[in-house]
Amino acid sequence: MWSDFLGKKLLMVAMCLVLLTHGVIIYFTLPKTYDAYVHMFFADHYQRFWFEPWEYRWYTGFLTISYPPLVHQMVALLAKVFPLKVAFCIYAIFIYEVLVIGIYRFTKIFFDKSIAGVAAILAVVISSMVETLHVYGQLPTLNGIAFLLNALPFLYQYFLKGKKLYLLMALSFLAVTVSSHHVTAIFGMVFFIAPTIFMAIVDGLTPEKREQSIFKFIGTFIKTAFKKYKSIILFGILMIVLMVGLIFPYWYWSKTDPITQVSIPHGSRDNFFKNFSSGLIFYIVPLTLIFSLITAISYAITKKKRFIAWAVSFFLCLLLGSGGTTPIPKMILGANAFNILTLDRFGFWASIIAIPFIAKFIYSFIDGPIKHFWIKKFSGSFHFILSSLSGFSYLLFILFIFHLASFRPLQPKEIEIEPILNFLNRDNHMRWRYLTLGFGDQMAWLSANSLAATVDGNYHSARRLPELTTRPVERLENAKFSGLQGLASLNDFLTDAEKYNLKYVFSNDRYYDPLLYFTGWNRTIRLENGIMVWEKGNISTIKPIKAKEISPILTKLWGILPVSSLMFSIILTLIYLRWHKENENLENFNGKDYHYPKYVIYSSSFLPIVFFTAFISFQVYELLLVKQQDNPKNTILNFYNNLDFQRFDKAFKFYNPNPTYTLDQYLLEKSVNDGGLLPSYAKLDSIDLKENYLTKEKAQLSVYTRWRTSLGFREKSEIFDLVKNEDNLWYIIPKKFNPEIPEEQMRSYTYTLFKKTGKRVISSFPTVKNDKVKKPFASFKQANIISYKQNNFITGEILNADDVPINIALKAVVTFSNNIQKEYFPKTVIQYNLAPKASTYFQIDLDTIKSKIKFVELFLETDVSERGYIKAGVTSLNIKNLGDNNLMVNSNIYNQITADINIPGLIIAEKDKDGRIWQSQLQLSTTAIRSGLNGNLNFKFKKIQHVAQINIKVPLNVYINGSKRQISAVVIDQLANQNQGISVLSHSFISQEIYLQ
Amino acid sequence: MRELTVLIFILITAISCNKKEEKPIWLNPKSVTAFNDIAFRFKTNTEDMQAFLITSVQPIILKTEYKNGILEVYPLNKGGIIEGKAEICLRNNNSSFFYDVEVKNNKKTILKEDYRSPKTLNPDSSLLQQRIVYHVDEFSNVIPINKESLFFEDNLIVSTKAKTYQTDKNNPLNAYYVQAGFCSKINISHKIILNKDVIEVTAGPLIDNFRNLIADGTLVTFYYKDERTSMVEATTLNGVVKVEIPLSSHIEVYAQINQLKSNLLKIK
Repeated sequence: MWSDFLGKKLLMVAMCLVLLTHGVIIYFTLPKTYDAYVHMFFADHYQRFWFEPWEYRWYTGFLTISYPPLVHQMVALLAKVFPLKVAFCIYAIFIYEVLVIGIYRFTKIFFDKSIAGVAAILAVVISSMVETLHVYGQLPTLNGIAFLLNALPFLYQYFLKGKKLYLLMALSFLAVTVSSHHVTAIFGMVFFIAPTIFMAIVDGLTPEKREQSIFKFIGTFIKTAFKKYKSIILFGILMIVLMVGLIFPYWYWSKTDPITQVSIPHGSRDNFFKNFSSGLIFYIVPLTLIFSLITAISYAITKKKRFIAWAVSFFLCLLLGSGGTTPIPKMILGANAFNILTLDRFGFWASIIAIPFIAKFIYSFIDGPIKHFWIKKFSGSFHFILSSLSGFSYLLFILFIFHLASFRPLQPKEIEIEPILNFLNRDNHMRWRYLTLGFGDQMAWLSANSLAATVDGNYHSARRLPELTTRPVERLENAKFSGLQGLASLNDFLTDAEKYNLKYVFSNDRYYDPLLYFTGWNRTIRLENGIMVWEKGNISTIKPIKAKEISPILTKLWGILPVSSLMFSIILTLIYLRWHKENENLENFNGKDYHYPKYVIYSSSFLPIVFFTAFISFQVYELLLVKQQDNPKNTILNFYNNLDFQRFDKAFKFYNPNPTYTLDQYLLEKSVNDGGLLPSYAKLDSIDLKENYLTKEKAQLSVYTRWRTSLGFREKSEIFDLVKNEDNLWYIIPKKFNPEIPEEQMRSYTYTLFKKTGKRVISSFPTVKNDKVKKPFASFKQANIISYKQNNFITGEILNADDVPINIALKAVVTFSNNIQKEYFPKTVIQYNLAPKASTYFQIDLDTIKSKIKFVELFLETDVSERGYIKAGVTSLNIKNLGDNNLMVNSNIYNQITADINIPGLIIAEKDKDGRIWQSQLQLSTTAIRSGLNGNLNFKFKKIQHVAQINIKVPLNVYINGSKRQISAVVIDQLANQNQGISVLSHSFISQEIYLQ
Repeated sequence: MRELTVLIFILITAISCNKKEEKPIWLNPKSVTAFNDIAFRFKTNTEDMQAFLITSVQPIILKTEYKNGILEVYPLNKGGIIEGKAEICLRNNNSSFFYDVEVKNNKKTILKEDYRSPKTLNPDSSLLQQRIVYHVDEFSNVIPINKESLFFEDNLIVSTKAKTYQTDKNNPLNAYYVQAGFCSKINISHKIILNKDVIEVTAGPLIDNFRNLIADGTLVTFYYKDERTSMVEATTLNGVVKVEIPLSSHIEVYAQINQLKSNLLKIK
């Protein structure tokens, strides 16, 4: 009786603790989680369009039946009353409460109620669940497991006692699991339901049979299981009916539209020895308590035959959760499932299975035989100190997890979305698609608050655009973290923006600026929240897309059944509690055996302190105490680490202390060199060090760095001299700085800027004629189809023949001999903005020769522009012939404007003596040129006209703004002829927003 | 039990049957009426009728008052509408009734609209412009220009002088534009500025074949040659463009707009 009272009392305490801890903090941790905003976006969908499965706002449209809807629908219902974020928090806390009750009830099928009470308390603070909620924001997973755990005691009793009522109750809870997270339901059958059935069957045996030798026991078990075949089959059939019936549209979708995308890398599949940070997040943090008590868990879970299936389940989950550390998980799951699943969920399930056994140990340690063991061996004080230290170190560990997202930021800083919403709402901006860059998961929050559509999305299973599914890229938004593949994917979308009606980019990361600029995007406005809006001209508005049709019956079922399953389970539970609950419904087959052998007591009493103290110490050491300058190599590596994360004050501390070289001086020198592609728009990809010499006090290192920019990789090599000081630390000797200073004290430059005033009538009805600006005139000065080795490309020159600056969009449509048409774009080898009477070279790369080209059509669209046409500088050219058609193009650019030229560049065209263009290339410098200074650019250039061919037999037609036009006659370029056939155009990126001032 | 079933069936049938609505009688019919003067009366037994005026472009809700079997219908707000054939619609939950009427506006302020196409012309191509003139009232009803036609149409040859022209001084929306044509000739001159050690090269005034100053912002590229070949790009303002090039002992300069080149300036 006392035990019963204690268990329930602890359960109540646990439930109150949930409110006090998770309830208080959840609103602040959710914005930093991986997935919370995605689920809020889905909830917003159901709030707006409950019975409509087509969601047009992501990926040019996808079906929401691709994810079980219960959690989203429940949040949507709550959001009718509360704000969406609050609704999500309320439901999350409700689920956590259900989960704590589930853990309590789940533990009761193993041990007595006191241990179940301890398990309930443990559920509040166990790191795996804390991490799932506060770091991952995975509410459907928690919802699934919460109801699964509540179902298991009923299922156990059904198989033990055979009462149909228990089957009904179990199925009602399992229905909720299926409706909220199908993966939990599927794997739950293996890892939770099968062991429960096994345990129920074993508990149904007589004590004598349970004590048989293992082989006899297996025989007896199989015989008994066969006797219960009707119950097992009945349950199995009903479970399949529930699984298929409740979320039938999901299965229909996955069958008719199977996931055929390239696997996206996930940290949980890494080798945790090689990638320690993945191991930390996905294995160590959620399972530290389990590892520290592994001897106690292993002892208890293998001690009794009734736990055999749980032991198999636990160790298998633990193994699968280890990801790619060993090849075994891949062998068990198969390559396909291994590459689709996120394996951290197995570790999560292992921790759930372990909870009853951990609770049992804790109970014994606090108020059982283990406590008496320590008191008897040493004293009460010793036990008190041991328990306090264990508890305190675990508390610190949990606090760390609560704030893990702050220590190791998973997301960019919170972005105020109102200015973006206002921008989208005005001037019909919503008629085009947009793209966010550098928003993290907050892009889903923006989507949830707007009806505007983006080409990106945050639920990669639903992606069907080939440009996304053929590359291992999670989101375009964070393409820079997906390496070359990510940037190639982003490049495709930015170049072929018309295909997706993509007109606006909201950039929160200047890393992408060079790519945006050189693919023809213009900065339009910097919003109040600091987000830069980039715009592309000549983009047509979104055309209606036919939604994938789903039977109206299925859509109605999708809207009704999942929520009904939850309501049904709640009603059934109330009925059960009122009329059918039995006082002692679970028999305790464990007895009151809380004894552990000495090796378990010793290891499990001390390991938690060791583990948690070590963990916290490691974190503190990493943050504060790591020796960053103990040798020359570490000094350089840590110096670059600080530079890469723009921690310049910390980077400065690696320089040899010198009264004449102050932080102020360092930052000044840095500001002079800053602004170029490498210092300002690149992330360090890899670093390689070579020791030139090393003495006791001096060293010299050659440092080769590889930088990842949005325009591809760039490499750099530098030499560093280091010195060892009296404090035994190595310091970098600052290089002698030779400042380039312009002669003038004040510079002036006259800009001719344009403003497109427009004639928009102030009316919400679109005006028909008066606000239209005519399409500017442009012409093709030449266009040639070139074949060079296996490559085909189109080169040429375009002129802005109008009196206003223009933005151009060029597309080549190639029809092959098999009548297949394919579209190609010039990417970065073109100037998209042209001043009046300015012209640009261009090159469009086609595929390598596969089939013969039948004819080519070039489509040019023009639009009035007011931005991006300013060129800067005096460009001097000197060409050296290196022999064998190799040239060295040496160009000196003098920056005569009032802003820095951040990425100086040239479009270099190779012309023949008649003026025909054979190839064009964009070449960029990695360092900026300050106002009033010169910069030298040297590029190797290989001429191809001696080996390439101009394909004059293939018909080439040009269209300008939809009308067929003629290509002008090619004119001899005397200047190019004087420069060995080389002609250049200045094409540079200036980060200062001259146009926006 | 059988009686009860029959009774329930009869009850359901009785409830299901609806009395057919009678069409309200229009007591003061008018074939043509001014919108603001609408005050129609209908004889009807149904109190909860809604009334609409369905015009060619939009339905307008009308106010209703029911007294002693008479339904009075009139506009909620006075104002103007698109004129023409319309219908009065009376509706309750089950039925709708329609009555033809032609509505007009009482007062008319005639506005003259003058549309030009194309709005932007360039003397290097065609200066032919189409003009369409018509009259509208303040509610966008087209008013016939004369007894025979609603529109007046003709073709004009506009002036070669580059400027913004207005067909109506009070309506900037109707403005049309003659742009400058392509530059006909580039003259360049120079001035040595000794205190800055530079040569200021000026191109301009640059004009087209019709003596218009060429468009602001036109890109002019200056090429000069000393030891190396260099180019400076600059844009025009008011037909003139200036660049500064470093002072050198012997220098040759020319300017170029697209394929039009200036004279070669040799500076020693």
